[in-house]
This record gives sequence, C-alpha cells and structure tokens, in this order.
Amino acid sequence: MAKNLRLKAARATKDLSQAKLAEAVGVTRQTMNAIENGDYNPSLQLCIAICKALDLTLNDLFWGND
Amino acid sequence: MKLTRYDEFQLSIRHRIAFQTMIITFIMIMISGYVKTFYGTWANPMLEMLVLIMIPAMYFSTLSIAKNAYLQQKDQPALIIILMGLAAVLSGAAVTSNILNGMFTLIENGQLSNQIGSLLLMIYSGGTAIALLIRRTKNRRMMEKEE
Repeated sequence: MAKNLRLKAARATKDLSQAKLAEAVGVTRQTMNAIENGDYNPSLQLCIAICKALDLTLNDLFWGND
Repeated sequence: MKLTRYDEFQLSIRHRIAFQTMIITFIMIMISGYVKTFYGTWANPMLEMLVLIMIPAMYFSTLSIAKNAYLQQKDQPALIIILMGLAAVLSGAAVTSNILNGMFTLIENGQLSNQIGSLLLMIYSGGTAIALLIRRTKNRRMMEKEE
C-alpha cells in the first residue's frame, strides 16, 4: 500500500503530532504511524474519525486521485 | 471514537497472532501425543500442562509485544516490566542455585524433571521483560525521530 502523504500533510498543517492526532481519534500513535506509512488500511469508522479531527473530508484524505 | 482497550489495528494483529498460536498449540499437542504413544510419558501431568501452555503463550506475548499490540493502548507500563523482571530474577536465582549445588537435572528417569518449571518461568518472564524494554526503547526513538 502507498504512503498516505495527504494525511501527513494535513496533520502538519494543523500542527498536530502523530500522538496528538492518535489520541484525538482514539487509537495508538503506532496505529497512526502505520496508517500514514500505508502499512494499515483503516476502517471507514476510523477514516471518518480522522477526517473529523482534521476538519477535512474523506475525499481530501483517503479517496480521490493522488 | 471511544477509547477502547485495543484499537482496531492492534485487534487485527492480535487476532492473527492468536490464530498462529492456536496452530502451534495444536502441533505441540500432536507431538506430545505421538511421543506418549511411541515413547511413553515424557513428563508428569502438571509439567506437561506447563510446557504445553507456556510455549504458545510465550509466542503470543513476544510477538504481540513486538507488534505493539500488548498491554492495552498505552505504551507498556513500567510496573509490568518490573514485575516480570523480578519474576525472572527470582526464578533465575532458584535455577542458578540448583545448578551450583549440582542438583539441576533436565531429564530424570526418562522424563523431564520438575525443575524445568523454574527454568520455563525464568525464560518466559525474562523474555517478556526484555521484549517490553526493547519495544519501549524503540517507541521512544520513533517518537523522538518524529519530533
């Protein structure tokens, strides 16, 4: 799986560390790291939670063309 | 999302490792059965139980520690490392004392000796404590690298 650079960029824009974002969505920092590195495909529920935390849409972060 | 004991990634890892552990347990029970059929009793019942439980348990705990899917969502609490280390030291002391007194035997009358119990406990608790420490160090380095 490809890295999720959009997620990383969005997190950086909000000045959030992986740990802070992970805490906001209720997962571990390691899980957030795995999602950003493309090592884990999050569930829809988790994707929605991440989008809400970053105030973006699913298209912005997970869907659509790179 | 509400904070649960394990998040979905950790759960998927634990399920995979648990399945592998189940297969290992089956294989060990099969081997035990074959040895008992063709060789005879290889250990007393309690020791047999200990061996058949501890080896898969060690596989499960070591691998789930390595994959960050152990001991809830938090990084490993120091108390568990200390307790496991203490258990390893105490059982290690018992084993060492037996070895130094020349009383430690692995095989007795064609069966595993009961002293294996302390050795297994030492290996299990020591291995778990070391794995937890290594994981904790790696997590810290990952956090520092990200910052």
